[in-house]
Amino acid sequence: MGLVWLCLLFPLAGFAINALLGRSLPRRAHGIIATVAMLAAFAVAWIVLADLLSLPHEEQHRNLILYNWVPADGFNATFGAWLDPLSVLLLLIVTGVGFVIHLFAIGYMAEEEEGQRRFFAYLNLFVVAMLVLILANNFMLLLVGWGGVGFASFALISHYFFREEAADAAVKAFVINTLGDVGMMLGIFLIWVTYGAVDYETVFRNAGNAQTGTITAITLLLLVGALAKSGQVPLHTWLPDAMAGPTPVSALIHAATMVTAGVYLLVRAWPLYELAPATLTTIAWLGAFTALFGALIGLVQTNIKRVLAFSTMSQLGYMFLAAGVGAYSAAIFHLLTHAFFKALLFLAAGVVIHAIGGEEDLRRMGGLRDKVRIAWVAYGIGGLAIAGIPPFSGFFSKDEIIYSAFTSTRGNVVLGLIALLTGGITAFYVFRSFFLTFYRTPRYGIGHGGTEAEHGHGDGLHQPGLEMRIPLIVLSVLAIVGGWVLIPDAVHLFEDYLEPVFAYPAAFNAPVHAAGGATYWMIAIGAALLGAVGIGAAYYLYVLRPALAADLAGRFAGIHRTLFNRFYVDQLYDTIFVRPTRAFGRAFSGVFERGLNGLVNGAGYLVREASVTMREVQTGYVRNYALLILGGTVLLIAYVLFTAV
Amino acid sequence: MVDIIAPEIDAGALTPLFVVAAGALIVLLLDLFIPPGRRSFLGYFALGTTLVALATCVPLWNNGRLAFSDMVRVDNFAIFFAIVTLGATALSILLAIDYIQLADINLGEYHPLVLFTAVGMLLLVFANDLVLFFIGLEILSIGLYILAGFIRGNRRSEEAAIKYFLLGSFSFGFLVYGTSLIYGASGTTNFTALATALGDDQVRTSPLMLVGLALVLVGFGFKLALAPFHSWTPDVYSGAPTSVTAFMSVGTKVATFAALLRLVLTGVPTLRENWAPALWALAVVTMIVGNVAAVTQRNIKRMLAYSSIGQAGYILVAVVASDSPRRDTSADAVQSVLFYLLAYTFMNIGAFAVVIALARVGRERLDLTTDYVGVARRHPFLAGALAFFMLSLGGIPPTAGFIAKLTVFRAAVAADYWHLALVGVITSVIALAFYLRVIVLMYSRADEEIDDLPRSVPAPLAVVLAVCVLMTLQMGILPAFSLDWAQQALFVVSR
Repeated sequence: MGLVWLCLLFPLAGFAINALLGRSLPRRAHGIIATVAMLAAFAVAWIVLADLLSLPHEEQHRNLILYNWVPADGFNATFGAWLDPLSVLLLLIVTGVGFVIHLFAIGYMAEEEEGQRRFFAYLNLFVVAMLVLILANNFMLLLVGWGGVGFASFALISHYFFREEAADAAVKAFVINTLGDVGMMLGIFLIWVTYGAVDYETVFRNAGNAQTGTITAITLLLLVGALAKSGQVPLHTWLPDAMAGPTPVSALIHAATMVTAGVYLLVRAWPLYELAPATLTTIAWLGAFTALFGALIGLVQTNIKRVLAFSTMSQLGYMFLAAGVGAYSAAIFHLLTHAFFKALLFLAAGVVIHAIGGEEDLRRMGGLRDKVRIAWVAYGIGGLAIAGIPPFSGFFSKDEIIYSAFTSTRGNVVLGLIALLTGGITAFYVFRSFFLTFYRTPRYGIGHGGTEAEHGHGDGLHQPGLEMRIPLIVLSVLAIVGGWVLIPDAVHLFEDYLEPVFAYPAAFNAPVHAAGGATYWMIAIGAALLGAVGIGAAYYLYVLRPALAADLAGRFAGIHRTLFNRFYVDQLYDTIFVRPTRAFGRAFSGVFERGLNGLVNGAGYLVREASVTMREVQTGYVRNYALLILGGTVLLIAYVLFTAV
Repeated sequence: MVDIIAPEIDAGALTPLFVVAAGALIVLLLDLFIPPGRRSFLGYFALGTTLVALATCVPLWNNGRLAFSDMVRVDNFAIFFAIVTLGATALSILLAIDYIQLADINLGEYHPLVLFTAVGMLLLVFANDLVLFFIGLEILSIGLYILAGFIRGNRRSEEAAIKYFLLGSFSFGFLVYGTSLIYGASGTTNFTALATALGDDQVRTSPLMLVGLALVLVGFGFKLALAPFHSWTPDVYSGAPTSVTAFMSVGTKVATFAALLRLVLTGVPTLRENWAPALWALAVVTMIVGNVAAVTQRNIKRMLAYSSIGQAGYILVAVVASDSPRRDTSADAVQSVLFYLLAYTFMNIGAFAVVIALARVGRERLDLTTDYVGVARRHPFLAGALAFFMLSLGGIPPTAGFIAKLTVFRAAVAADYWHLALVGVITSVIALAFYLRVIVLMYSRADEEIDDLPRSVPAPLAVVLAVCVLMTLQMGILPAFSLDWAQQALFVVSR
């Protein structure tokens, strides 16, 4: 078990080598060093898993202490790892998915002249911080990782700092995440004041020894941090903008790992959340709302990465919803499958973007099916998984959440219906982007001279190399089979694996949701059908109709009427469906953006005014200063004499 | 006839102080023989002096004693502060070596003045008597008055010096008057004797005593820049040469906090019902004023001036908490003061070092809204270092500043001053606004290429930066060493 420190050490060494010695190394070496470090960490993670599973079920929680970080009595902030099935699962996801994305990045970044060293150093640093966050055995250390991933993400978003949007996006991400960190800090302070400790063991054991009001306050403050990190409404605005970073960064940080930290925190601290029903209700509704909200906005996006960013927001909403209705294991299950299929979607999008010379606009793509076949297959698999089509992984994890939203004691029909409906919309908008990218006629500008000779292709497209293909293949397989670890009424691997997490401390027993039975399958089949309808609608609108229209218009002038009708239908669609949705989406994002600014500015306004007033007192005249000192002296004497009475 | 008994002289107890004083005199003399072009040698000599003085502190560790008729107390507590003060002096001298050439103030008396000021600081640290304390404070202040106005002909620098001098004299009047009242009430100015005299209820409740104490606290408040005695700070900090600002923002605070702890814990511990509420009120006002006023500052030196006011407020929280009648709680509070001051030394000097490193001949980069935008692109290392110090000053883990705030707030909560800790946490959040603003500005995109940045960082500055970054990081990740050291420094002070 002690080997777990190697998981931290390898990426740290990778970071150190690239940062300190990198200048003297050849350009290709940076990526290889970083990737090998990740592979080593991933290998060690499996050993840790084996060690953990060799323990009896009820002992699968270990508090490994490396050294006493803040040596103070009654504080218990050690530098240590909390190993249980939950943290080890996340360890595997971060190092595993991290490894394949690092590998992908070698190819993706290969043509960058400078900045590779910086890129890979920060990528490794991010992994270190993320692992600290996951493995921490107390809230203080968690906060270190929490701040660390925020910083690394900030640095990586601004990788292309010479682009204005990248610099602005980085600042936005930094500010909103710091807002979240402040919430976390206050929450941890309250935990410490309440329980007299900050380590998980003490806090969770004594969770019930505080008043419900206090626990609600603690959990809400922690939630602020979780909302900011996971891009949930109303702290979501940074996530879409963060797409200004390189695509591997979007895949690793803003899809597969960092943004799920909020979900991890909620599940990690379940003994506290279980005691704060009001917070859980808040989480469930915020999650459901974000899921729907993200999906609706996703409908109208024209940038492929932004479509995926809003879908990430929406999928994280699902996870929050699951945690909010008490289905913690369902939340983690979706976290797992989402890490696979969303990383896959991003990397496939990355291949496309890479192929057509950095273009990210869906309106300038199209017809790429046969040009970059591997991306087509990969994006298709990822799309089917996110749309919840059986037997792809998303089917199992998403239905688990929809089922919980309907049937859990904390869930209700409205939450369930939102989850169900969002599934259909998700299928539609993801496949909209799929069809716009890969079907119909090419709309991208060809003519990237010079690349033809390099790649030996006549079409001028950059074809992905082996280091980019392997990650796509691996993630494709995982996006298909990743969900098979939990098939209701058949396979219970995942539930059994996570069970020890919710059995400790033994005093509480959160229900591990055992889905199954006729209700489940009805919901599951309904959701899958809805997904299929969404895909069909997208196919009809973005593939069939335009082709048909062009065909008919060209051959038969007499069927102009039909054409007109089609146009009419299109308009109708536009009026009753697309336009209201778009308006709805716009209005909402407008209202929220403004509301958020107002809120932040309101608090800032007070401080600023006070500050300006203080500046006015600071006249610069010695006589005024002397008067101030004299006044202070008089007050102080009066005060001391007063306390003596 | 009264027999005059020659007091016993135990010069060994004050070796560090004598070394620094002798060094200062030698540097003054050396200046006569060194051609102006090679004056940086004076800086290195002064640096050597402080290092030798640091070395002479070592044998005094765990070898505490009273000396000079109980006027001087040398114990682990004093040695701890002497080491920190000398360390801060050494770093400030390194900072100044290139800066004073840049600012065209490379005169022979710069380094001797710094060393004389350090002598004053050491006197404060070792003082066991209000009179000696006053003398130390005067030596320190006179040095700083001159240093603040060292850029002759520069109106802002001269204004800083004259303001500092006038207000300093004004508030020292209170200090002297307070001392005389305390003497009048108790018949002594010696901390040890004072504690004994206060055993008498009549002395303890005497209004003379209380007013005297309040007036002495005013003197401390001025020197520590506690609100509402802080008004001089932004003007003086921004007017003085940056290397001097760095020196006085750290050295003065460290030494004066040492004296304050000495006074309240060994001199007037029995008056804790009187001084604790007074310091409590000062701490609250100081935390709020310092951190709120910093938010709208445009000049980085003024911002750091307000920041240092706020930081003093946090340290004062722990001083208040040291009034706890529970021995271990009190000890923890004092320990957190020591740790905080150590952390503050490195992060604050580090921040000023970056400001100095960005300066060029005839032009310092002080305006946050114009001079710092996009600096990260040209100087990723310097921007990274400044960002790191800002995070530390803001109390973000894993930095020294985080652990320091943590231990202070912990001490406050343990001593049942949780409301002080709450004010501390809230003002820390406000403080993030101006600390993080620097980072955001540095990493934003500049509208136009910045081309008047210095190409490289001179070696002495690089050393300072390396030391400060490493120490700030080390105290954040492995605080146990420093905390242990601070713990051992409590050896004698606990009552």
